[in-house]
Amino acid sequence: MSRSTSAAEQTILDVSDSGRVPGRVPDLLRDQPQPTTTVSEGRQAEPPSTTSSVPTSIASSWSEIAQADLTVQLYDRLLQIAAAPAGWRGPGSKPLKAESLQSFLTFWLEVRSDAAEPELALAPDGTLHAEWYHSHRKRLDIRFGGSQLVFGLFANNLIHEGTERANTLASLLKSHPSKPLRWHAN
Amino acid sequence: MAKAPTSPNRLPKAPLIEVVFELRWSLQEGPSSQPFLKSDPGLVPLLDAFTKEMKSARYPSYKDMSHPLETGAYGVVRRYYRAPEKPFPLMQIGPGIFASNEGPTYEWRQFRMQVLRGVSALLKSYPNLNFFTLRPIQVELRYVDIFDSALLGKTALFDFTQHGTSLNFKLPPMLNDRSVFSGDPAGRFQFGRTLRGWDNTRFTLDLISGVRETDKLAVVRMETMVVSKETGVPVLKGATRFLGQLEKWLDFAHGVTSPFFKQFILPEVMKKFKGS
Repeated sequence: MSRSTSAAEQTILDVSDSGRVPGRVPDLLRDQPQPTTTVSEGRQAEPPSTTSSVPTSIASSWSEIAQADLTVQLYDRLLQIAAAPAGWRGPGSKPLKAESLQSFLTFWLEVRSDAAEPELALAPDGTLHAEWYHSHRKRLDIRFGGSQLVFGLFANNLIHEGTERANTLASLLKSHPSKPLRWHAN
Repeated sequence: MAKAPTSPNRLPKAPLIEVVFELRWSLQEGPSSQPFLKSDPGLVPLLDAFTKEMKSARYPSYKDMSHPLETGAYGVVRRYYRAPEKPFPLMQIGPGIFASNEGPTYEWRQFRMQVLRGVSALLKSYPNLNFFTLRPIQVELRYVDIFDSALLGKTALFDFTQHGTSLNFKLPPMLNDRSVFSGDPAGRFQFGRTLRGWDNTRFTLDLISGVRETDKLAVVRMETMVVSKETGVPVLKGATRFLGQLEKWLDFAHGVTSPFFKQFILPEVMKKFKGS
């Protein structure tokens, strides 16, 4: 799952004695290390490794993920979601968008001290869907696809729906009397 | 449904994102006119037997990555998991290659055991063919760490090396001249050196800077690896002996990568990961 970035135009600074020829970086956030052509004393080039397994969308947000204090279970779930290929739910369904993951992480960093970890799911349009569930009459859903978060809160027989930026929605939910971010199964 | 916020089990080894062990074996060569055409004649029976071995090693879940007869040399055909919802630990198999991966919860002794369990399964599973013998030709231990500008500031590679590592570049003033250049500097630094203490073995550090597409933030990917080839690879004359030699090799490789990381990455950077 490699992708081109503007950095793909950068020139390699190579001081190795490995015989690798300085050239262009093929993809700097690649899933699979793809060194430049190896020309070493007439031996043929080795195939690049394909054994790295972490998807690019996770790698490119790694520090935020590592600092977000996620449990291993939630990280595993994110990895699983990020590994879904294009077409995972039929023709036209999209893999996880990097914007969706970053939007979730931005929101999570705002609320994590007051929140239970949500149930995460990938939507066919590549957005990330989070659910905090208490009962069928008490639930919170948020869709992360960019800077505007789409949410639906069902509590006290009232439905609140709307679109907000991460920090605004975080403040609203943290101060809500029902404490919906703390809803969890057990 | 949401989970209770009480799990103490976090991501303790960040910035490590992944550690990979690879074992490669020689493949059957194609005709001399097509030297790149290589194949693994044992692959199809291997897949079947290895899958059974993985089941008894508690890796019952697997995912096919590509068709075995359409996968190029050293590509991955199948990945094995403990459970569908658990991406790590991971075992992988393909023509001429076995790999085992672990994520940021990695612990060395456990990972070493995981690797040896996987290689043992490979040796049990590879078919006995009268025209082709399994001959390991390369072993590799590779660590992948990722750092981004949330930790390091605006620029990537040179800020990272200057403020986050024990490595320093002294660039000519012109390369920092904003009237000549725009944007942030970026690049790649690769260092390779032959190791003493194990034949035909090299240590490689590979630092690559890049820019995240979504918000143009800088990211540095660091790979640290020890690779042994041909004469540096344990000779396969019986599984027990091979596994014993491989265990020694793993300790040797880890004995290089582990102290290197501690000397290379400054404690202040590590504190930022631990400080959350």
